[in-house]
Amino acid sequence: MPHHMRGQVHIVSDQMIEIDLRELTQSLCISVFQQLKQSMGNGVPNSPVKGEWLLADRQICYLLETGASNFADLQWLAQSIERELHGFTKAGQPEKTTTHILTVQWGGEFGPDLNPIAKQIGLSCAELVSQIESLKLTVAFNGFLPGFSYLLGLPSGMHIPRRDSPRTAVPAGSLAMAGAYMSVYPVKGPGGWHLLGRCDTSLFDVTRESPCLLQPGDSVRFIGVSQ
Amino acid sequence: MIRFTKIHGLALVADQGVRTMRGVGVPLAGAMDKLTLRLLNYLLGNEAGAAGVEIMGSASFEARNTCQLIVGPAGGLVRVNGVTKRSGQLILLAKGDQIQVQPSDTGLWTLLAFAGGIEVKGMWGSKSTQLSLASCNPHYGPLKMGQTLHIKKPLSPRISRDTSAANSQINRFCLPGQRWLASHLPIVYFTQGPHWPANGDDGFLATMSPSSNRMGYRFELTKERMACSASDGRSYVTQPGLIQCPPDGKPIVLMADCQTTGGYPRLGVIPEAELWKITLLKPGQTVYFQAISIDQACELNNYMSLLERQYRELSKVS
Repeated sequence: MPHHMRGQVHIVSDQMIEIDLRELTQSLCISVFQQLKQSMGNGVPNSPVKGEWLLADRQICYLLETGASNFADLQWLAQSIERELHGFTKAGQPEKTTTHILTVQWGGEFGPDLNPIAKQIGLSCAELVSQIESLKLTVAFNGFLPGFSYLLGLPSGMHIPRRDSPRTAVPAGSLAMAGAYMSVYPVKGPGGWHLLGRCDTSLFDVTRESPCLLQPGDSVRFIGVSQ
Repeated sequence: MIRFTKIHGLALVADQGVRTMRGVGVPLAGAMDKLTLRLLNYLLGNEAGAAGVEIMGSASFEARNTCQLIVGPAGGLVRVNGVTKRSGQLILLAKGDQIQVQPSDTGLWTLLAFAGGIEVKGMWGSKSTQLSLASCNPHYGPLKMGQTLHIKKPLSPRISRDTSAANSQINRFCLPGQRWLASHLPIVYFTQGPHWPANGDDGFLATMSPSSNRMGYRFELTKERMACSASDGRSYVTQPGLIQCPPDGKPIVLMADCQTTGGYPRLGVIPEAELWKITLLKPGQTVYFQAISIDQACELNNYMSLLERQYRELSKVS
């Protein structure tokens, strides 16, 4: 018996319709996202306003190119998405995925937060590094900065809130953690995450056909190298 | 063609931004005030998406051939061979003219739109500078002293070549902001987001902080800190105009170069038709953020579309 999708479709703003999928796993959300793009294409068919599908943490958004001039258009879009969603089943896994192994230089100037975060979790630095290296993380979605992938799979005891105030500049390659996520900053940018080390793999390359190396559903492992 | 001889601050090529790569984290980028750039383009007979130049601070450049220029936003100021020209005026530049761009009286950014538009190699359908990629390749970085920019030949210059005749027509219109900033307390409308405090007021008074940039404008509250509803820690899709509430309770309004996802609670969203107001602010200026419904936000967008249509018509009849 298939389980039909029951996402919550909200009009968030004059430019955004949100499907809140907080009750699903991220893996199922990726599958729903792929089904939506397959069945509706890059936009909502017959829609009076253009937009694009975006995936975040158990959230899928339809973001309009420009702010809607008519609230009825937003209501029509929300209803169309809801109808489409009802036809989906909670089946299927993300399409073909890849496993990536990324090397990391832990701590020191590359990971100024490794010590305080290990202390906060109640581990030594070596224990924290060893735990992270034993994990197989999953790319949940991409966003924030070009090529920035949100990786899930940290045990709940290692979920640390974001910094109270973000750093204005985090160096490219920084391996960082915050909340339930880990990630590598592919380019220099601001950020409120805790910095644990540095990774030298190019995660975003405009010359590649698909500039972003890591895709939703892919697996990632980190292996330490000496500085 | 124009050649930059001095840049004190930041100068960028700007258009309506990249609209197809947010799924891999590429910011929208483009002009901070996209509405004003579109209006300037209409006045010049350009397509809405033509690229211009956006400058924070001051800069000087030389015209290498004849071209037409309009400066924005309201409060933008340039000197052509020492003669002051205000925003919204059609300026005919001749070969060898020296142009100094002064810091704008309103906001931090000055927009320069040229008839024909700036021609540079773009990416993903946009010619805008992508500062988020500048650390990978300086090619994507800001304009530099000595750099030249090509201006496309206007395809069908619909505006009169007689600048005084054109200006008498343009003067019937005014760029948004001239009246708004003169008001006793400027108001910015927003729609409440999922983390707006449950028993909160329908607005807040806030002062723009100097620690603002193209990714986000930060605000200090004049009263106590913002007590937004708790977020569940997830990262959400973001957009320019989103008002975030970091743990220090000081709201951040996301701007043109903002990240595409973020985890801070979502206090609200400034509708597209209102975003130009934020770009006219300078650090230390105070505004009142007033909540409206999404229905009303759509009405504001509709009003702005009508204004844009008037500008387009103006360029057709010139």
